[in-house]
Amino acid sequence: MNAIEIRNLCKKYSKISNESFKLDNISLDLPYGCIMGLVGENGAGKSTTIKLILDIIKRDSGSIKLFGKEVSASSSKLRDDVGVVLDEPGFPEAFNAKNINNVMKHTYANWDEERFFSLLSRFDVDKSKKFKALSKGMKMKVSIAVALSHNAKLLILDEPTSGLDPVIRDEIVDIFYEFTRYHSNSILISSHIVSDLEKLCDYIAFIHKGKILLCDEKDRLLEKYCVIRCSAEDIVKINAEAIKNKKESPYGVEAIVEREAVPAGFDISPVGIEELFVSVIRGGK
Amino acid sequence: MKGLLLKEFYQWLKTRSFFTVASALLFAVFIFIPEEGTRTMPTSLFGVVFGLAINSFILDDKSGWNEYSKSLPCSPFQRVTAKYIFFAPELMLFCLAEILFALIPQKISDDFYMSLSPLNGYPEAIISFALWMICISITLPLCIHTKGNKKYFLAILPLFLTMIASTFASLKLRTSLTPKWISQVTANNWFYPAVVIASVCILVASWLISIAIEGRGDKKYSLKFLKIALIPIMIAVALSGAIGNVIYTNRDFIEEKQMKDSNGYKYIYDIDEITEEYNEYYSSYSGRFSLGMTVTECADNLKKIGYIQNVYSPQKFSSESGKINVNLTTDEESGKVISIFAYCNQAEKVINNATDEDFEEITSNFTSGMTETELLEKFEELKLLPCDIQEWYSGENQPSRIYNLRFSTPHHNRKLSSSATFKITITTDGKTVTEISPRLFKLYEGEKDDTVTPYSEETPLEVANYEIKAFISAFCNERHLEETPRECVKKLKAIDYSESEETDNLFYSPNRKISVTVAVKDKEKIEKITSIVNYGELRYIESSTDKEMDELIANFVLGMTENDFQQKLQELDALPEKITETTTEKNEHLRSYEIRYRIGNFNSDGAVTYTVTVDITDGKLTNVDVYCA
Repeated sequence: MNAIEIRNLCKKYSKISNESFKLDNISLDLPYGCIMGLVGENGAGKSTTIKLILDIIKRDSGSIKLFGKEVSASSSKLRDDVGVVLDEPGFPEAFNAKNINNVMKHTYANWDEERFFSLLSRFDVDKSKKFKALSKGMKMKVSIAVALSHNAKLLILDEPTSGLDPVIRDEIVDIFYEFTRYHSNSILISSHIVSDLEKLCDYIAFIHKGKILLCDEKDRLLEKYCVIRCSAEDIVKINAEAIKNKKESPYGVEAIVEREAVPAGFDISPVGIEELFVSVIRGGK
Repeated sequence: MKGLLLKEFYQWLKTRSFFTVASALLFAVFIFIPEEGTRTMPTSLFGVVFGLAINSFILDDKSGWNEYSKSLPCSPFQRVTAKYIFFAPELMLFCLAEILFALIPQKISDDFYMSLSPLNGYPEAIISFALWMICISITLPLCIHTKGNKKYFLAILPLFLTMIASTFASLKLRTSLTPKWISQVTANNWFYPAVVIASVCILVASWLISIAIEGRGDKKYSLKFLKIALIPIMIAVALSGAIGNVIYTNRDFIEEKQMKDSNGYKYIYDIDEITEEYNEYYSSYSGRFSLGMTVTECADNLKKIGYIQNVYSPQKFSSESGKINVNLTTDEESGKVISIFAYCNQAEKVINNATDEDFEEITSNFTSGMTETELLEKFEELKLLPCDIQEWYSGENQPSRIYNLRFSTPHHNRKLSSSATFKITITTDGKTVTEISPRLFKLYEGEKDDTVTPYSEETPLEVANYEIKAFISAFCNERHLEETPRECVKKLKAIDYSESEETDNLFYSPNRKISVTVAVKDKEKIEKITSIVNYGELRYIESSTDKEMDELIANFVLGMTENDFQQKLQELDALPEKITETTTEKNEHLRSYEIRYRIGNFNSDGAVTYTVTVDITDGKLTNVDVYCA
């Protein structure tokens, strides 16, 4: 059973927004209890995909299912189980944390007021300060606290760690981790900070120019690909199709290749998600 | 949805400064200029509601709430309904305020305005209510469609301006609606409920359409609400049709009628309607004068015959159709009525191609000595209606009543070259006719000349004379230069003078025949009061010699009191064109009266004008100057 099931999702922006972006035939599955990281450049389609999943923008075609049910205008109840952090926290600027708590208390069926305030205390957020007076990082913390305070089964997070300092980022990553490990909950998270995703995610999806270039379990990806360092003469011994990316220098060649295609005797080291992401994107270009 | 409503409420609380400032401004307008305030109130209140709606959407757009709210467990139905529910009580609150504002003036004037129909207050409120409903019904779906995006609001701006313009247009219409029209239209008991129900249906349709817009990604969902929206739309259309039909069938009560009688005479009024109202007015006299009564007593008499008292100027009354107006002038000290002036601006008989003989023939119907009853019978027989009827004290507490009849030929557009206005002034002492004075204002017998303003246009001489007399009696028997500007303005307003819109030291008489300029030396004292007769009418003497002018001037004797001088002016039917008050170097109070006479043909280059200036220093006549131009 999947928490999110996306099939052949398409969205083309009309000319009125002066963009020629197209989300092309995207299909994704996020199983229960897993965390999927959506990695892509700016404008790759991460936020559009998330907004389509949440039905904030309307899809042109394809199907999106949350917890096995099709997302539509009349499926608002489904969102009780979904915690959301958007790239721009959408709370009215004149509100403080107490106002937000009151509004959410009457919006979510399972709102946990105690948890909300305890998270705010943990994040050092001033409860009486107006939202517009908070820094970008603080706003994001409030948004994350809201997403985590209504006993959601699925978190959909769009760049939730952007603007946060490394210490808080680390703490939040731990919170997300707890969220899935102890309650079999799921997370779909998009981020530029690939190191966070590498630490957190079970699945990684690389998105580029509206297309999913690669989507697999993180461990399998790390197992499947490796980094080799060799001379220019040796690299030709490897099947060209297995080479994802290579960098040549006077001292030799560094390449990301499929582990299976590497003959014995080569100097192999494990690949990082960030390296793999860059190599896949460059390959895509 | 409770959460969404709470969010709207918090947002309103946090941005209430806008609401508070707007409401305070409105309140100030209403307090300081009650009449204008009441007229602009519906538009302004609507503006506040409109502003709140727009403000809410702009704030949502700015904060990103529009997007975020879609990720919450709330359906499009709930999101839209929260907006509508939040605005509904606000709208109701403003409607309530509007009704209160419409009713308050009536309550204040309860003591002397008992017969006022409560309907007079409601049309304003109902029209405003309907307009708000329609405007909000258009605005909210547009806001939902554009998501509060500012660039789209630029597209809404013309719509907003159109709405404001239509609000003003409807208010203009409202001010021109006669009580007769209102009573005719509202005789259908369902009229007001129909307007309210139609407006509510439009709002309900707007709500359902907004839900369809909000959930437009899901076609089934949208279609469901669009189908339901058809029901209130159909009800609103049916009711609007019925309302429109009532308004259309009663349009005659708004339009001015042009009628012909059996002799081919044209009237620029509905003679039957005005005759009926005049007859009621005559019957209220029964040969007696209302002079000397208090305003309340006089008002009671007028109310008995269906006249309506002006809420803001209790000395003014109008007939049921609004075509006959009655103004009372009271003595400042005693508070007693010293003159009553009833006029009907449309009461002018138009006779095509009339000759001087025709007018002489009409005049011959009236003779000195005939009783007032006979006079009124003659009016009825000849189907004549006076353009004004005045009651005033002509001499030592000697009441007189003047009937003015006005005729014109070839028709009421007196800018044509051969047109002429003929006037008959009939004076009675309440029982018999004492004087008949016909006047023929021939304009140009030659070529048409549009460049010259016709002599008698805008010149109801009696109105001007009456107003000069009223001004003199109210304002020329005591010093005013020591007064503060505020006291002086108060006195001017007591004799119905109104402030000029252009400058704050200029005042106009009720019919704008006289303007008064108040020159202020400093904030404490008035330096000068200048009264200028504005109507361009001079004492006109066909031919005269210097000797005759000397005889005229001999009437003004040095040393005579100001009171005697004023009586002499009345005897000579010589009214000043200008009255100036100043203080001399010796700190004496000087009041100068300028009387002008024109000798010879009005249009002749050789015409002579005499200006007689009479100075009254500290209440005594001290100087008479004659200047010949």
